[in-house]
Amino acid sequence: MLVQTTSPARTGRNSRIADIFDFQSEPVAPKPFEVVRGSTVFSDRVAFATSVSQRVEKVFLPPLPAKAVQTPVGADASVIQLWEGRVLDVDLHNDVMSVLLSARIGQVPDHIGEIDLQWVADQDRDLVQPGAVFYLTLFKQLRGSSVRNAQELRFRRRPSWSRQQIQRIHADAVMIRSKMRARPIAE
Amino acid sequence: MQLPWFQRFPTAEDTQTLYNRALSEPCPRATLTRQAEIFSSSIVAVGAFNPAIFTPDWLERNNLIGRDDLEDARKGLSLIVSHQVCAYETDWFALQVLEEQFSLTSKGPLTPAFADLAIGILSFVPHTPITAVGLNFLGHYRLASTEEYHQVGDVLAPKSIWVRLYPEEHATAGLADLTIRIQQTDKNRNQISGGEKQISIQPSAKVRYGVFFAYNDHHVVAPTNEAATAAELAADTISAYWELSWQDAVRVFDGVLSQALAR
Repeated sequence: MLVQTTSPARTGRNSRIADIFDFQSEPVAPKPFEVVRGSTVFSDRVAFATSVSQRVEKVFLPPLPAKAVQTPVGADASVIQLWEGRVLDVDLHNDVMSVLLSARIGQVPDHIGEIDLQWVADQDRDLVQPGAVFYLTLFKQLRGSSVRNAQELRFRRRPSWSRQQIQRIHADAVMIRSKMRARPIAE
Repeated sequence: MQLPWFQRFPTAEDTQTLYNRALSEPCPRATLTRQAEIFSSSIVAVGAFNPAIFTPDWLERNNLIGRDDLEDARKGLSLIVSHQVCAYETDWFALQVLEEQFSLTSKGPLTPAFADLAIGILSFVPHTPITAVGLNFLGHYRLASTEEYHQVGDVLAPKSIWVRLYPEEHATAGLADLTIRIQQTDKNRNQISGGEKQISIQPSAKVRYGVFFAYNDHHVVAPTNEAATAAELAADTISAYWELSWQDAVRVFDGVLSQALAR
């Protein structure tokens, strides 16, 4: 096997990242960053008792006072419905965009609607133009002991095609074309 | 010899096949019996990285995040950028890059924008040697009662062996962590590629009477030609498989619970 995915976590001196924090002279030795070499399992398995991946806190100690650490990475939501939208038209005069919505969960037919631009985040306003793709999400979120339903509209940001990607697409097209044959002419 | 689907470079035909399969098979979400209380994803890449590149400003300059996200990341207490580590978070993702591991974790509701971000980042570092990509999905499911909660643990890990070993009156045995590995093998049960899936099950630390699932879809990245670099191949892998893995993770989580509770 080229890489291991289930090797036990290595900590302490086995971790190169831990070394950079060795200068700290905290009364309690800082918990080193944990690196499972070769593993792609999302794992911040620091203490087994609190167990894998459910520890959403940062698990490394930057060279700062300890109180600056442990910022929660709060995964606390679950998607109820997700639509992929495509902007068809933008009416800046009335501050609305006409969109085509395709459900990504369940089998719901596509439909066209209008969305007020007030629901678009300021940082995404430049992206609002015909052809732009966005995701409209209805989700529930756990906040302490309460649950709230909310929605989010986020525009897609993908880099444009790279030269290599275009070359690969061209190569695929050449391969497909080479397999094509003209239909025989009916007599 | 034809390489297994998750080892060779995904061609246009692969993508079309996956697309057709996704269209022809009933959407697993449509037949689900329960919904997760919390569901998130993490994309992990293994390789040799230069963490100092991946700053919030670099992401914003390349238009992968917006101005608000940049401000979020800059203000965050977790921001750290050095030669050995780069880590910060916004309200919808957390990024951590070490010299040997790249890890992008979702926050809030999960959308394909999360995978787009990972694809975008890796596309901008095409010459980074990446050896593997893991598509991870994490779900917390609430059960109706403590009886159901214990039933899931008892079905997945029967306690009869442990009760015999620890027959004391006041000893109990409980499932703390169970991991199943799924590999593609030939007829002699020899693994035929480095790709595999791992599903872990634990008691939820966040949801009362809840079960936690972790799903890892591990892909080996092995460039077979000069047309694509390892990082481009990693980005293509995420593009081709992330949503399918999401669907499969949901199907598996739901299937495990449904079958365990049906016993």
